[in-house]
Amino acid sequence: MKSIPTIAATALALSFALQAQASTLPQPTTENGVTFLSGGIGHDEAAALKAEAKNYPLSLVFSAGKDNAFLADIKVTIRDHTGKEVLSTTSAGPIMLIKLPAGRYKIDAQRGDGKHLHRTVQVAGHGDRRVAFHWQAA
Amino acid sequence: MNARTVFAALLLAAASAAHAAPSDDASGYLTSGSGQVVTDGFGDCWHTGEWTAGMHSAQCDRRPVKAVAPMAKPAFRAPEPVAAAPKPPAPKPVPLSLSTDALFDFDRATLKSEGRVELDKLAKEILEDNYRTIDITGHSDRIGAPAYNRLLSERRAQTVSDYLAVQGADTRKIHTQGVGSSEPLTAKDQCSGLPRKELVECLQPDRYVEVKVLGTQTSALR
Repeated sequence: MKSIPTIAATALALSFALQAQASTLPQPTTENGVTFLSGGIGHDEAAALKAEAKNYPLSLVFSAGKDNAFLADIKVTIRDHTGKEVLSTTSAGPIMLIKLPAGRYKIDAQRGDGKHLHRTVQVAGHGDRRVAFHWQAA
Repeated sequence: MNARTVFAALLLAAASAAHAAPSDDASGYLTSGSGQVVTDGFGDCWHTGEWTAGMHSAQCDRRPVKAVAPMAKPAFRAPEPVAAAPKPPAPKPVPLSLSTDALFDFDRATLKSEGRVELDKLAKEILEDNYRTIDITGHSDRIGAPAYNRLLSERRAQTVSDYLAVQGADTRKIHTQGVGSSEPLTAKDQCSGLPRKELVECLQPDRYVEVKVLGTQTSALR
């Protein structure tokens, strides 16, 4: 929420109005040296994350069913080419952006009902690789 | 009121906090200069060395059977009410249901301008009165994944909470939750088999935010 005014004198009402209009980007976090952010709940946050994706070497999108329903609470585990786990977290929404060094990774995504999907991806240091995880069954 | 068995000499430090009331067997109790039994901040009496079992006063060691002894009352007694006022009914939450479609566009968690107008009205009603708690529950329709819908409904409840907070509501009294599509207002088969656009319209009643205001006894919001 970078556009919340920081000027102290700004009226609260104005502050809220701006906040409501702002592109609400979730805060990135860093675990084991890997910076990532996830979300995309609601159209506005999803749009903000899609716009931010160009700044991340890897983007994951989670959906299901013929309507491409967006998912949330997806367990994501990423291993490097040696099999070492580099990230294990839960995506707060259908979109996850991850900063990873260039290399080959195995990604496991698990839905709430326990169904897994696997992908092996090549991540370039300065690219913006996008990977869709789509479960056929809604 | 159990008498606390403490000798009078120990009381000096606490004497300033103590207050006095009329006594019966005064010699068994610490009394003030005017002969009134001294009690501590808990209403307990202080036994003197002369206290023996069986001694009593109006507020100390009252005899259990002779229950007619009046309770100790403060010197500045409030006047008795002329007629016993009916006990006000226990406050009950007032559920106010706002259609999500009136507040948010489809799949959005940011308020649209009509939504602000609705919430301004609600805020005015709530904040003009005494309230104990404001429970805000977001609901979604069944289109989409459950986890996603729960988070979206939580987000919408939070947006409403944030808005009310800006209007002056006490955030410590606001609780928010999102229950996704678990409590639909449409019947189970009501919208079955419709194409997507019609389905979204048909499920409109399921997209709502419920605001329950628990008023205080002096409030009109009961």
